[in-house]
Amino acid sequence: MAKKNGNFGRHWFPILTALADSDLHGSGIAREVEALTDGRTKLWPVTLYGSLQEMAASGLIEELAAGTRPTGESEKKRYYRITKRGRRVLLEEAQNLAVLAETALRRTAG
Amino acid sequence: MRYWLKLHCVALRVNGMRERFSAKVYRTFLRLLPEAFAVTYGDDLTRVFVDRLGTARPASPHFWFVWIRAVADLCANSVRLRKKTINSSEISRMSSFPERFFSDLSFGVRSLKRTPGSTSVVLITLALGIGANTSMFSVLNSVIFRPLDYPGAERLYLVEAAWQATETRNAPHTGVDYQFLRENAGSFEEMAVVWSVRQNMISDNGAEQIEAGWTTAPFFNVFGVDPIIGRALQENDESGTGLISHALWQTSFGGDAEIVGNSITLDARPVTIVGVLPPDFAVTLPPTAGLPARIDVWRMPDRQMANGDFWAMDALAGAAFRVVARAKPGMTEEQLNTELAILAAERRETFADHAEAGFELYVSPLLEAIVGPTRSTLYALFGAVALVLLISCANVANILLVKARARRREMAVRAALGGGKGRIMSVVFAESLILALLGGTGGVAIAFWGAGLVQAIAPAGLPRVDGIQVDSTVLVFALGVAVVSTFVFGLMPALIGANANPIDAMRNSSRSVARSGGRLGTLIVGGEIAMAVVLLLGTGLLFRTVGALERVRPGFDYERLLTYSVSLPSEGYAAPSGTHGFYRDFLETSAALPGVESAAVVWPLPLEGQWWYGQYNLPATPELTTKANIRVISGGYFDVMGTVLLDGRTFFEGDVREVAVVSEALAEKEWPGQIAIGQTVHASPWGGPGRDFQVVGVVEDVRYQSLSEAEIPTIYFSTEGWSWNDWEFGVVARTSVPPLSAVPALKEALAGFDATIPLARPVPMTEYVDKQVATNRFVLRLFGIFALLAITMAGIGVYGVIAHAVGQRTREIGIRLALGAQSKAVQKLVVRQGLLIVAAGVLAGVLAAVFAVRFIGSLLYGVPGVDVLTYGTIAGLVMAVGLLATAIPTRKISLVDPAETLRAE
Repeated sequence: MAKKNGNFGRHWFPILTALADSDLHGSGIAREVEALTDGRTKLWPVTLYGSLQEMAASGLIEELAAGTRPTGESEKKRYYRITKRGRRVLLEEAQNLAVLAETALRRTAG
Repeated sequence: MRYWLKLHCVALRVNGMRERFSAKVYRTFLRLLPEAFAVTYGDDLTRVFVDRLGTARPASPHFWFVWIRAVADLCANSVRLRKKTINSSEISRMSSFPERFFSDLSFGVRSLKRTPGSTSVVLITLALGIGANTSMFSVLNSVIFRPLDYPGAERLYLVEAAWQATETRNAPHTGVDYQFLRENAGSFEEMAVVWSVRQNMISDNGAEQIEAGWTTAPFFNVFGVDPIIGRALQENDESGTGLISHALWQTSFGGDAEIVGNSITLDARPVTIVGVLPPDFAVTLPPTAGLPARIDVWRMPDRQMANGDFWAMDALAGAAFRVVARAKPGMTEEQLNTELAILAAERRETFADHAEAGFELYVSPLLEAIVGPTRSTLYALFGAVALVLLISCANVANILLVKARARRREMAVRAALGGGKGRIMSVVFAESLILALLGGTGGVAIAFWGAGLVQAIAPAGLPRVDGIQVDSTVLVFALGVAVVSTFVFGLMPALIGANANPIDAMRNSSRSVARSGGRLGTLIVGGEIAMAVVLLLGTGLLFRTVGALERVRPGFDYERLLTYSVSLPSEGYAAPSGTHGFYRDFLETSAALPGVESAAVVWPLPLEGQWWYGQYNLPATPELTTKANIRVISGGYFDVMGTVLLDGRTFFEGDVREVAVVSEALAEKEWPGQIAIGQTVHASPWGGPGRDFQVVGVVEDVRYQSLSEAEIPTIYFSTEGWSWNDWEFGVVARTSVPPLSAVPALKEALAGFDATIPLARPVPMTEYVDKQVATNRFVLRLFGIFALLAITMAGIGVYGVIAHAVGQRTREIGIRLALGAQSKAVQKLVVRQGLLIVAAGVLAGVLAAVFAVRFIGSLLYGVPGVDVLTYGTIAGLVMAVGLLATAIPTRKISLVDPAETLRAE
């Protein structure tokens, strides 16, 4: 399980999901998360970078060094990439949630 | 300061001034965050913020939403990030967040208690500013924002006609046009006629005049109303079928549950009651529609009137009906207007008079039609009250600023001893929160009272006044205003406190601190003065307007003039001989009563609110296309009113020819430089083809609709030619006693003629004249209150800044005195400094007022927007207040003991 006692709640889950596909910078993550959640989750700047800082500290993601950022993009934007550990944590949590969600759906359907 | 520079040194790659400005402001807010985090992520944070802001237009709701959310995000997370910093660095084992918060709160309370003077000034200032704003917001909310009280009210429209040839808008419809529209307008679900006449009702309570509404079966679908007893009107109901209001049901029938099937007598004709309307139901139309607020009977229109079937009349001259329609779901105003334009074109092809008049049709959303005319007035008032809030916020900011500066050393010491910046700021925020809650509570209390006050002094022309209340929306507004104003203005001192560099603050003496921050205080106070000047100038101009309106001669003498209404039924009073004969005899009898000098008949009464515009032309042109006021009078009318007969004569009993009297404006327009007597006008006062009337007299212009109107050409016709039945007449009586005290004798005299005819709505003419000035007076009163608040607060602001400056400069003053300066000379120096601030404020205020005056332009009369007398007086007044506010704290200088002050430092 990921770090549970963080200060920034469970935003790490959608953020990891967003990063699972491609490396993104801050605004990209915010947009992707918004799209993933049908506009329900809007990440405001400090929440976003607070979470990113925390996640990087927990080893879920890593900040790309200046040289490895996608070409043609601004050198000044911070790019983030999901780590192996991050990918594993995301998968585990997704499976947990899927089981939970299935149970919830079954119980509410009746 | 260092990291502040670091934050700014990276240029932003964003387009346009707007983003750059927003980004800059956002960066200022980043100071709230822990320094390390802000420096590391500053650019990225700003980029995401700008991205969020997207293409939102400045000041649009979305723009503010993003801003509020972003600031909330900053504030909330600043605490989180700090908690982490503290935890990780293990400087102190902090207690949990709630515990810390309450400890901060109690610290804030203690700290506020330490300075009871400034705390209470802040609270009173905040409460007044918030209270005044919340009161005005409750008015705006109830009058303008709240939807109408009908189900699906957003689909209700007023369908009106425009007659381009005479530039007439808001025109009513003929019965034939209504039926045509109802059958052919496909974008509407339903359309109903709304109209009213005053009729006599005979019941067990005797004879009384009531407002009888005419309507058609769709009325109930259009307004979405169901009768509480009985049934709604149906398509095939006879003309004598109607529903009564809840009020009439209670007063005249004692709430009789078996009312259905009974009948009432309106002007000698029976009306069968089929139902009772709900108690809170009322039809509200814009004032231009001339519909009274209370209508007691809603019934099918009479098919037979003295001059034929009202429904079959297709001439525009007989247009009287208002039409309210419910649009089909999803139809836009534009779509409705497009269809109506096509239908209007068809009417122009069918009827020659429609073509001549330039007949057009259009809709206005019902709510917009009702509240639209008052919107600019209310917005002007809201603007004024917003200035009051700004001034009170400025004052609060100034006081907190002074406190923060005084505490810089305290903060610096705390910081030097390892007190976290966040901890210091959270204390300042706790203080702000306490101030916001207390000030907001006081403001809400004032708002309850203020909303009642506005309701009490509101003029009759302000729609939906009864609904004004402090509801949950208003409370949310008050809370928002309280929190935003206190936090925004608490933020500045918090930042100053938090950025106290320990070394700088400890090294520098208080003197230089005062000078560096004093400039901001001066600017704030200058701004306060400027805003107060704007409000005072508005008040001054409105004051002059009311004075000018009160001096207007409306074209008659309104003192000791009684007006009332009498309506004759067609049974027994056939027009014209029956009605004319009655009035002739009754006026003669009235004039002989004690207390009554003379009496005359007129319809409609001047300034009462009803209008009658007709068309006329000169014999040379065939069409009746020139708009004129029409008045029907008895011969003695001008004598009774004191309206000056400029030339010729008034009407005689038994004039052989058809004659008319015209107003000076008409005579000058049509026959400039000629003698009007003996000329001919072609007109059709009763509908039907026009006839020739010979001009026999010219009278001075009378302002029939409003005191501020320009003179509208007027034609007077004699009651001898009157040809309508079931119609009210106005009576004017010149009295030698207070007007209302003549009413009992007049009632008795009228009963002597016919006991079934009531004397309705006796009102002294002075009341109608007063009503004319009511809106201006209402706005004047509120502006007066706001301006008084503003100048008081601005005075306090000046006082505060000067008192603070004197306090801070005690040492400098002590040195000056020790070196031999006269105490008076030093005082002069300080006073001059204060007056300079005030003078700059006055200048800025006057310049701003020249712009702002157009917002109340429609309320001004008889005074130019830039009125030298008003501007001069107000400038002098404000300078005097400024002098007073400066002089009081300056007197302390004479008490300064040089030796004492030098020792103290």
